[in-house]
Amino acid sequence: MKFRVLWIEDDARFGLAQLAGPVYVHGGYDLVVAGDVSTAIARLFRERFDAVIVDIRLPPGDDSEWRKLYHKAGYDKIHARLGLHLLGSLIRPSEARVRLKRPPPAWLKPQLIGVFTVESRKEIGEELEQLGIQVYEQKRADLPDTVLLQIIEMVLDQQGVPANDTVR
Amino acid sequence: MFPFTEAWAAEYLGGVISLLVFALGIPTLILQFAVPEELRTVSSRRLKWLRRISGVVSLIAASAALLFVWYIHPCSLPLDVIVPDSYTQYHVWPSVLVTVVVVVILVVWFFQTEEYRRDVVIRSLQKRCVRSIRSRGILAERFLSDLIYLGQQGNAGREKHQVLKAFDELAALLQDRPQYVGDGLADLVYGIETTMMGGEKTGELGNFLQAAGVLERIILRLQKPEFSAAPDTAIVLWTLERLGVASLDLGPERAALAILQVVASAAEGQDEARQFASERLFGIGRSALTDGQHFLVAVAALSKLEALAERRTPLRGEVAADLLGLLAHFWASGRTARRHAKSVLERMEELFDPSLLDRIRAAIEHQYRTAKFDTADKLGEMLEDLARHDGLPGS
Repeated sequence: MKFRVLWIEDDARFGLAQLAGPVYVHGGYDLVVAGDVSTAIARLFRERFDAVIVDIRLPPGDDSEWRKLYHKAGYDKIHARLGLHLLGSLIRPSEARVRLKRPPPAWLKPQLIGVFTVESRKEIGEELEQLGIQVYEQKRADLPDTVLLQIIEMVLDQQGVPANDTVR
Repeated sequence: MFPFTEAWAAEYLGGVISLLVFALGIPTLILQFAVPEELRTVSSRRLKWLRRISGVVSLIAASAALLFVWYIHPCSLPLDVIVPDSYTQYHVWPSVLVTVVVVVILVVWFFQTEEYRRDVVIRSLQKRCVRSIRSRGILAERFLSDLIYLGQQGNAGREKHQVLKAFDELAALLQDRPQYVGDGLADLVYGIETTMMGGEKTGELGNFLQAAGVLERIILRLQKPEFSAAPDTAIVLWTLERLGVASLDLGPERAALAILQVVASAAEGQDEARQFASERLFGIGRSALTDGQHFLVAVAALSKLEALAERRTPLRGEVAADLLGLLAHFWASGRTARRHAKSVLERMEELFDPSLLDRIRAAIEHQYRTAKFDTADKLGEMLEDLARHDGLPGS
């Protein structure tokens, strides 16, 4: 059975094809992509995933609460950092800026989450630590095409699932 | 009243003709050049009442203009004429009159041009559709067809976006009604497809992503037990396949990948849709392989099909036939594609019931019966290769 992976990424900077290709070819993962926060939340409430990879610079999507937050940040993905707020709402809902309409899915633990973003560890490391998220990779120009696959494997590794290294 | 002279009459006539030319000709010319044909067509269908009102207003304006010219006719008075006090009053009324005429013309013009703005026309058509849904429970065909026409003729980008947004809201309204039984969205879904690829103006990447989102929301609202195997699910999936294939021409694979995801999610929420979704995944994957440039889309389609097949094992029936059919196309698409097909077959070999080779034979029959002869041939080639190697080469 394939592992189910949700990649929350609006693909503004990095080529989806370039990074998703190795994941599809690997064959072990069923990759689902959500392009904004609202779509991602809808997906997370609907389905269970084995790994969730989150970008920090995300558009809000349709949900009015998230749009409001985005609006307050001046319609700017860089300053809004909705990915971090999303993680807060999912992992520490009591302290979150945006309350989800229902309690976050019980299966979603920090160990299932990886962050793949432009922000450096210096910028968001503290927040990630508070949320208990260990897997982090910064988007840089020198990354291999298999970086997404590697992040997925790191997330699964931390859950005790042996990584399939046939592609690496 | 002033003396009627030949010079006065000539000036008067000239003035009236200029006014008429201005009042009728200029607006027509502006409409001709500034408003796209599709908006003029739809507006002229919808705005018969406005034309009638405009006619009456124009008549009043023309009469007022005639009066105005009559009162301040351009024939100058002889110098020795003593102007009576009442003459000054003659100047006050014409001034008031001309101001009123100008204001009336501007107001009429404002409303008229407003009615020719695309978003206003779309909103107005949408409102009428909403009214027909609320009162009769159906989408009024004439308003919907006007919306579809605007979508089809609209330029890629914002113009198509406006129509797709209207379809999105109308679909939600229709599906949220308690009377909705999973049937009745065919025209609207057809509208989405026509907007995207029904004419010379195909949608751009953003439009394809938006259309995929609209169709996904329709699918999600259909994922309730009472809508199991609903006709609307089938219609949406068909449309998704056609959009997916059309999106391959865009260049970037993002739209096709998003569409594959929506097709797969239809099967996740509804087991009855599984078989139908597998056919659509096969269709998009096969098209992506055929042009030889979209291997990523083909690989993604295969991956989704594989995930869908794994969910109910042992593997048999049409889902197995679709999976093997797509694998056969990979098999025949060059050495690297064949390598990928082999790796999938190795992974899944045990899942086929009663065996992989038997399932391939059954798939050949299925593809033959459904007139997919090319797929049947490729399955035949794959079967021969596998039989020659007594199973999977390298296994």
